[in-house]
Formats: sequence, structure tokens, C-alpha cells
Amino acid sequence: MASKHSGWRWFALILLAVGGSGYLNAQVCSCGGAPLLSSLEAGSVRQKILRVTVKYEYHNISDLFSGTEQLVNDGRWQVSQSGLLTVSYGLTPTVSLTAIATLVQKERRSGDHVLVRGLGDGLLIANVVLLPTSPFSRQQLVLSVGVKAPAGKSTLSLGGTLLPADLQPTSGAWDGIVSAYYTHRAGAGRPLRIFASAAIRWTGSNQRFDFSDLGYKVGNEVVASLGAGYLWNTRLRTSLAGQFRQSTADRFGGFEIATTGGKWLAVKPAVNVQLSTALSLGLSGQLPIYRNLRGAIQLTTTYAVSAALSYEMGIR
Amino acid sequence: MTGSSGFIFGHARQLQGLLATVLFAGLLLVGCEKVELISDVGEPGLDDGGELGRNLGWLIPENEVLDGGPGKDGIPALSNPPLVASGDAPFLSNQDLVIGVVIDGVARAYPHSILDWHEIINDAIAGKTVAITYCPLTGSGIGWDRWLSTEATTFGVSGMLYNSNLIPYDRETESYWSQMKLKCVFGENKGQTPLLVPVLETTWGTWRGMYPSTRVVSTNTGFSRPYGLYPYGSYRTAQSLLFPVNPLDSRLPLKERLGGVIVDGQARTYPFSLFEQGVGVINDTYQDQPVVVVGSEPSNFIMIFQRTMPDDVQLTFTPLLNQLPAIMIDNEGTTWDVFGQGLAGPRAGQQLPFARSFIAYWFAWGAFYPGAEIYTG
Repeated sequence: MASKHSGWRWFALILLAVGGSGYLNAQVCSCGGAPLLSSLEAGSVRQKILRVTVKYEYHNISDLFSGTEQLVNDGRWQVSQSGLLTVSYGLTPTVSLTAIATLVQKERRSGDHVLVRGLGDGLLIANVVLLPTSPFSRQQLVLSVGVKAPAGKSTLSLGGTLLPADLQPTSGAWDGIVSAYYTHRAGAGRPLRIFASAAIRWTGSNQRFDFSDLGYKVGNEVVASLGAGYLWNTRLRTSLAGQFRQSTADRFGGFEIATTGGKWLAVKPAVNVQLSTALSLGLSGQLPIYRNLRGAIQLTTTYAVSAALSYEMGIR
Repeated sequence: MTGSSGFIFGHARQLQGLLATVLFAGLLLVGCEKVELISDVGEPGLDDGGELGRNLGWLIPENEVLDGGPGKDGIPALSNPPLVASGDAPFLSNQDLVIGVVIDGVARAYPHSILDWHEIINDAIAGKTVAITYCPLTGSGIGWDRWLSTEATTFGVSGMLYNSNLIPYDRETESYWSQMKLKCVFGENKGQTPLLVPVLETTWGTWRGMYPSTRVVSTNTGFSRPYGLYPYGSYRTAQSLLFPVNPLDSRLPLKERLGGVIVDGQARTYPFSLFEQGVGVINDTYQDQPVVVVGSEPSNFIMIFQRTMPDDVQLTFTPLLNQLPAIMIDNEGTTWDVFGQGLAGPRAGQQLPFARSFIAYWFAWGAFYPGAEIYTG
């Protein structure tokens, strides 16, 4: 019985370690870049397995909030679309590497309609399986440590006018990322899967302005999910998760920007279809159920959808 | 499993699929950088794929013009705003700041708490078309005549900033104006200066004490905004900015409010601390222009007028205490009100020429008018 609960304890321990760091002051929107943290829920891959995933994410950002109160949006919206290429390879039974490259397209419509597209952030992650699944264990716990590199630009301009941070393809900074992923299988034939994940991003600062050496820093971010999935047959799996996200305020020159940062709670239904032994298709959505945003007013995500195609093959 | 393909123990079709996937993703990721303005004729950067701004040229440094975030009209200007009587404005307390205008005896107040969210109010008072422009980031409230050429235009919020300051655009020609530069800086009207409408920035208590019949813009604007909340957190008092300015002058606290006068592109500023007692008057000369600076720290206003009348007579003023809106009397015996209107005496009914002046945060004075003087007496 001891081993049955040790995974949860490990997970809780990691969550406390990263969550108690003091950086978790409330804060808002993820300015710049693709939603990378949400993509760190895939766990690890087995040794000598190469997994390539192409994912598309669509974020409709048109809800206007003041704290927890939703306001009537009188004509502003943004759309963020991301293409993520994720390549993972299992080096050993317990260690794998993941690399993510992104292409980001952002649109803003108010009185004008601006479209920005470019290479987004890149991510390199090392995954360590702390609790491997086995015939004797229904649990898996994976700890990941990585770095986010600003592969794209954060200084795109329109007609010479520097665009704001939340329209740039990247945040323009190097970030550190730690995440943990836990899963537990249950039931006869183990069709039921309980999973939880937590990820934290410590953001760096960039130099967006060529006439000022004051840095712009996107807020630190934590994302935690808890959910359950069910394997209906060999091909079809569905899941439902709750996701909590908290972001601290962006900072310019070390000072907080009032209308950034906050807390979000969303539900994420998902379905995964195994198209062949190597190929799978995943579809998911995200619907916010609670938002508490810093500052007097913020534009925030109304809904998000994603589709992912994953391909696995063995490589010596 | 054998020969040169031995490292792959899978299947050729799988490999083909993998390569196709990677190739597809690679094509998506490489060489796709793009910045495009899809709609809105006249915005810098549209007609020539991003080069228009450079070709036509800004009158301000192009690389220091920033997109503030909400986009064009993302901060919606108001036009013909809803008005209520002074007694029907429970959303205002006596200490709240308003921008007041009096035209032909008609008094109107524009609360900061509404301007914080709209920045521009296009209005008409006694038949005169005005735009009240207010930038919450630089603390500058300025009245403009909306009559530019053959008709009255309205102004909108471009969403762009220069030195943290509002850049309005006129909807007639889509030209862009720098509020604190007091000049059109891009587009068809480039180089034009707006005709200023004298405004008085003061507290609601002071304003309605002077003009009890005033009407005031109400919060029933048709827009869903939390008017009771200041949009920028602790910005008004913090020693920090949301956007960089050039140069950054730190001689005074960044957000200290000062009245200032602009002559020949240079500025002299006057701290509120000069007017600690009741109403104070400074008969000054700046850049060979005689001006009178009249202010009151307790009543929270500073106004600046020229001292040379159209008949070339130069006046000298002394303050009047506890007689608001009358604030000073000149050496000829005429008393004047806060808008420079002659109330009684030999020049009753005459108007003191309004100086190019307004109140703004110190950092903005320092950025727009480098080396701005700070009057110390």
C-alpha cells in the first residue's frame, strides 16, 4: 500500500517546492509567445521511441474583465493561433528529451486589424521518470526541467511603430521551466486514468525598446491541472480536466504593470483517437469557468481549441 | 534491421510519414514572419506595406512612437456625451479632478474618472466644437477646437503613444496629433497646430463651487467600464512608468503635477507648491513673453495667460482671495476670473489671451521639452 500512495506524495512535494517560491503573486495574461506550459502534459516517452507531435492551438481572446466581473466588450478582440512542433525521444528507460518549436500568429481587431506572424518561443526539456509504470505499478511520475528560448522576435513593428508585448510572437526572454506530471491507472484492464500536472515558468527580461535600457518582463506563471481519462476501447480515449493558471504582473523597469496577471480556472475536455499503432489524433478544448484578473480591466481568453497529430516510432 | 537502414527497426511507411510530418511542420515554422495592417486606410504602414510612415515622415522620432496595446479606438473616445446636473453626480467626490470649460457662460465638467477610460470627449458647448483630450499616463488635459479646415472633425484615440503621451487622430483626414507637442505629427495635416480651448483642471468641489449650474459628463456613456476604478493601479503615485520616455528627467518626482507654459518650443513649469496660500499670482516673463501664472494649491488649479493685451498694453496682476471664480485684479483695476474673463473694471468683458499652457506630470514636461525650466521664484 505504501507504493500506491507514494506517487501522490512525490507530486505534492514537487508542487509545494515550486509553488512556495514566492513568485506566485496574482497576475494576468500571457503576453507574447505560444501557450507552452499547457503543452507540457504529455509525460515522457519510452526508451528509443521518437514521438513527433504537430499541434494547432486557437485562442479567442474577447472577454473583457474587471477583477471577477465580466464587462460588455464593445469591439476589441484578439485571436492567437499557434503551431507547435514537438519532438520527444527516450534516451533511457527514465530519461527523455523534448524539443518544441512554435509558429505564432496573432490578430488584434479594434478600430484597426493588425496581424502578426512569426517564429515563437523554443523549448528544450529534459524529462526524468521518477516513478515508472510497470506490471507492479499503476503510477507514473515525470519531472521535467527545461529552458525556453526566444527563437523569434519581440520587437516587431508596424510602419515603424513598435507593437505591444502581447502582439509579439515571443516574450523575447529566456525562461526557466519546471513541471511535474503524474498519472494513475485504475479499473479492470486499467481503462481509467487519473492525471495531474503542474508547471512553473520563471520568466526573464527582454530589451524591447531601442531608446531605453529598461527591461520588459512577462509575469511568472504557474499552471496546474487535475483530470481523469477513460479508455473506451483500443482506439478511443476521452478525458476531462480542470486547469488552474496563475500569472504574476508583467513588469517594466522593475515595476508592475497594473493590468496584467491574474488567476484563471478552466475545464478542458479532450478526445484522443488512435488512428494506427503509430499515429494518434487528439482534440481538446478549453472553457474558462472562473477568472480573477488584476487591474481595472483586461481582455482575456473566451475559449481555446486545439488539434494534435502524434506519430511514434522506434529508433535505435 | 540490416544494412545501411539498420538503425531504423521500424517500417519504411512509418518513416515516410514521419518525414512528411516534420517537413510539413518545418514549412510552417520557417520563413513565415509577417506584420500586416489588414484594414483601416490612413494608418501609418498600410499603403506601402509598412514603409508609409518612413516615407512621409513623422515630426517626432519614429522609433519612439509605440503601440500602447488596445489598438486604434481600442480606447473609445466619446462624442456628444451624456450630461447631468451637478447635483446628480454622486459618482464624484469633492476631491476628484475634473476638466472644466466655460463658453459663453455655459459651464461643463469632464471628470478624470471618465476621461481615464476614454481619453477624448468630442463635444459642443454653446455651438462651439471642442475636443477635451486627456492622457492619464502623462496627466495632461488639453482642450482643442475641433474645427480644422472646412468642417468640424472628431478625434479618436489612435492607440499610439509618444513619450507615454496620447496621440489622437482626426477622423477627417486620419492625421495623427501629438497631444503634448500641440502639433499634428503625421498625415495630411502634419505641421498644423490645434487651436486651444482654455480649460481649467481642478477638483469637483472647487469647480461646482464656482459654477453651481454646471453640467457634468455622466457615467452613463453606453460603454461598460468600471468608472470607479483607476485603470493603471498605483501609476499616479509610483516612481515608475509603463512606457519609456526620452529623455527621462528625474529632477522632480516623476508624477508631480506642474503647470507649464510653452513658448518657441521650450517650456517653463510652475509647481503647485508656489501657490500654497489661497490664490497666488506670478507676473513672469518667459522667452520675452510676459505671462501671468495664477494658481491655488488648496483649490487645486493653475492657469497661465499672456499679460500683453491686443492693444499692446502690458498688465500686472495681484491675487484676489476667497472670491472664486474671480482670482486677480490688474494694475488698471479690472478683476479677472479663472478663464481670463474681465469681470469688472475698465476691461470688463475683455479676454486675457490664453497662453499655450496646461498641467502635466513632471516626467512628461521633461521628456517633451528637454531641459524644461522649473520656476522657483
